[in-house]
Amino acid sequence: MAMVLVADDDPDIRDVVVFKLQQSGHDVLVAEDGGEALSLARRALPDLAVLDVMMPRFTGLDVCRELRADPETAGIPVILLTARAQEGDIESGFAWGADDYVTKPFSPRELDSRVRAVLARRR
Amino acid sequence: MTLLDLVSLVVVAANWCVLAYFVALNTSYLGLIALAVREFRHHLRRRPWAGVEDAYADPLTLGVSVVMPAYHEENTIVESVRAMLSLQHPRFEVVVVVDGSKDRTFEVLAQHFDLVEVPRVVPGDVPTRGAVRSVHAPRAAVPLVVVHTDNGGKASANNTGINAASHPLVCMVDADCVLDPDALLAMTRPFAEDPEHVVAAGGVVRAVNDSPVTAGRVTEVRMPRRWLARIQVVEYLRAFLLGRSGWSALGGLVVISGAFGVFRRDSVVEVGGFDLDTLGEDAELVVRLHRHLRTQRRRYRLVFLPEPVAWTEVPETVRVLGRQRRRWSRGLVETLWRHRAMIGNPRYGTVGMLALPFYVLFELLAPVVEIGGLVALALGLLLGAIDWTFAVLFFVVAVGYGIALSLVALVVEEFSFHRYRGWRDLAAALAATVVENLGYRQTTAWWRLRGLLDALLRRRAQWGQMTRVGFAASGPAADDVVGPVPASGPVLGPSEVVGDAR
Amino acid sequence: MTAAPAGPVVDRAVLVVAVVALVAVLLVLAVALLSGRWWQRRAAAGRAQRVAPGRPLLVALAAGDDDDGTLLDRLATLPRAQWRALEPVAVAMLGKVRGDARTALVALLERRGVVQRALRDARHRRSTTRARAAHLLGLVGGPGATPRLAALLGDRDPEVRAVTARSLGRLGDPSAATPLVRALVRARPLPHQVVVPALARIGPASRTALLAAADHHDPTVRARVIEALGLVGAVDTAPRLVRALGEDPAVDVRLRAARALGRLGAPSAVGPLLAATGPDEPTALRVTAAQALGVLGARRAIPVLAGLVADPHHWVAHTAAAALVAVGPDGAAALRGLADAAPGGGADRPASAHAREALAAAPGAAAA
Repeated sequence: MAMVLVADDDPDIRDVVVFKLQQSGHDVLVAEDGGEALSLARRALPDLAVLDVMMPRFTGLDVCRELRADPETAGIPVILLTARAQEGDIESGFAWGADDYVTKPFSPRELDSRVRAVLARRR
Repeated sequence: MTLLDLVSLVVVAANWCVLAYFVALNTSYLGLIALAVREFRHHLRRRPWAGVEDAYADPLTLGVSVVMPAYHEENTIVESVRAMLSLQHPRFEVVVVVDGSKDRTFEVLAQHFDLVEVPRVVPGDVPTRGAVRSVHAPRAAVPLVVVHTDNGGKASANNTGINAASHPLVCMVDADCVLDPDALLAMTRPFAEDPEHVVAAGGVVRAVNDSPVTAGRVTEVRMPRRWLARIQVVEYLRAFLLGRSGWSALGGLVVISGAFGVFRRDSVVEVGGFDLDTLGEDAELVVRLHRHLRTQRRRYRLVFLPEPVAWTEVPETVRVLGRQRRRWSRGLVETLWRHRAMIGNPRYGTVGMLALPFYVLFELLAPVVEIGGLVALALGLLLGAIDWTFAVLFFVVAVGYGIALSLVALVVEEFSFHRYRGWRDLAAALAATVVENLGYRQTTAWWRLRGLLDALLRRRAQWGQMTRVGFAASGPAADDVVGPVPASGPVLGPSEVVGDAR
Repeated sequence: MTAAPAGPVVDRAVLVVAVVALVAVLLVLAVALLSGRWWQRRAAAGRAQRVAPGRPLLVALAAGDDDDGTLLDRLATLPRAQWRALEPVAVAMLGKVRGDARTALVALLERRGVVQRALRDARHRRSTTRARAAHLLGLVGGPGATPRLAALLGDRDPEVRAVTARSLGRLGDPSAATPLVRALVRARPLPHQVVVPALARIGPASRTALLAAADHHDPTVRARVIEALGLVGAVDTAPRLVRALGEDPAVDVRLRAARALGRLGAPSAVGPLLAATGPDEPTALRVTAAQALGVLGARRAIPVLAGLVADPHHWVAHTAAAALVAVGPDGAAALRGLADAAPGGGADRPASAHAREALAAAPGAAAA
């Protein structure tokens, strides 16, 4: 299946997402903050990135923008994880080329199907 | 009775007075610590359900503008701004005021954040000294505003930031501070919980020297390697964390560190913003807020939060530390002098009757007594008025109580926040409590004494001007202080009038 | 040399006693410090050890990997000590997921008797326990949670009341509206920032209860109630808000009525809001009304707002310009007119400067 990068600083959410995606047969790369996510993405060129918006230093939005700026990584689809009521985040997320978003509290099943949909769209 | 006898008698009496002074000082500090402990217990108990996360999702959370004055910070500014931008808060902006830096601070920012000049009318709500040259914002949708001004000093830069702020709350931070990720959420919370009364919230400042900072946050808290910084860790713990928490519990918080504090923008505008001519402009502002609101008999609150921490690099060289303490001391004198009418005045409640007298007696005069005490001890020995064993015992008691106090502070920290996790950190902290009271305190007393003298000498030269500035220069009437309209809560600052000053 | 003329033996004895006492105190403190550290380390290690076996199961359960119920069984039969360490993790996770994952976690908490215990603990003697119970009930919900929480709104501990209000908001049960409004009006009221979001989540169902409190004698209470009416989106209460805007003696009530009317978006509010921007009104009201007109998107307000952009007061002009952008393309067009009127206008022509600022802040409007 696909290689998915998951970046979130909350271990609970991270572990649940990783478990769910692994169970669906994806190879999962894990990052605990934006900086790590960025360097992992550049090195491993995953098929998809699931990024939490609120991460220290590089927020998910920053990572998304940086990925888009680099032709090597510009094609990596991005799904943002964002807190409810953060319409501004969602807007700027799309403005910077995010493909989809999932609001927290999140449903692991919904996230899984969005991952599948985005991957299918990009194939 | 010979003259020598008389002098000896006076010297011995002086020694006893000094000892009594130290006992009184340390005991009142012990009282403050006891109050702080009560606060901490309350704070820690509620932590699991404090709902800080809820505030993030709440559309009513008040917006906050983080004001960062920057002067000659070309090497660190990008990292600092980035760290600030990654703080958790649903509605905030970062306002960087580049205060006429002669280095490349502005250029570095402009390049990294892809800044473009934007048309902006910066109001003159609070006075400034450096004229605004231009206002810039990133091309991308990043909540950052960079105001480039002529050089006008720290207080002026702060005021420019307040003028340019587009949210109803302003958070003043030093550019070199690293904040805990939830710092803004936690610090704006008191304003949401008691919107009618809270006008300011102070945060804790701790030393970050030698602790690894990655990704804009402190990853592991360690004791600094240098003794000078270690001692300051203990000192900050006792004076800033515990001391100010205690004062907050009493309702007499008069210092909110300029390195980390959140204010209602309109209240700051109402009292005229930071004073451009005081060295300790942060303390002066808070005292002025008290004075103004008390004079108008309005019900208000200032709170101090023990938890979100602003981590700062403390001076590691004797020279820099000396300059800092001299400046602090001088700032304290200037603030107290300007607001001397409040001291001991029952009209100003706890602040007037308790907090300010404490600052005069135990902060302002402490270096005088400290140095005087050492002189008296030496004199007593020289005159043979006291013998060596007596002198040693005497010194041990004076210093021992100080050590005990610092130890109490460490114990409280250990049982509340315990940010320092390693055994070696603990050993270093233990040793620091001893060194702090044997040498460090006496040295800082000397610097503080010099700061006091600076202030007194300058005062004479500027007497006329100082009295003229006075207090009368408070801003416009409360009803007319307008700024950005908050998303919720009262649009105006505290307006409820207390029947009788407590 | 005289032999100790003023340092009698008594003094020395006092000092010796003091020194001995101090040394003892210092020792006690040092021991307290060291043992405290030791004890905390041990407790943390123990906790980690007890969480370790259960947490992967919990993660799998939250990820929805429990089709046959074996995970739930295993978690439900974990040894007590392990479960006690794991419970806070499970509760924390409950707030982070929804859908199947949440259902599974709630089922687990019910199996372990956590929910029943919370219902009991809501009457516990200790306020910390009551607050914890209120927090949990808000996360879990279920039958019986709302009435139990409504009773806790009258708790003697302010902390418990606040947690309870937040929990009721999370549950969003309409039957909580009346007790919540009562909490807003009470002599020692709950912080409105806690209650109002809760009411807003419940929505228009809280309308009646709020209207009944809108004539309270205390202006602070009136202001809160008026604001809440705007936030719960009770459009049919606009006439009452218009009355508050025009007639209330307290400025703060009028201000919050203006903001609430903007939020409600009732067309009937445009006239009164325009009147509230008049030069004789308090500045704060003019600013708030101008902003509300923008939020409301009233095209009828464009000429008045355009006039206000030239107002000498910075915040009146600034807010009016921003409001024009918010009104839509016609407002932006009016702003462009103002901006072009005096090209290069600086401090002497603040209107055009304000107009350009507002247009630049909304890139779409400048280009259109």
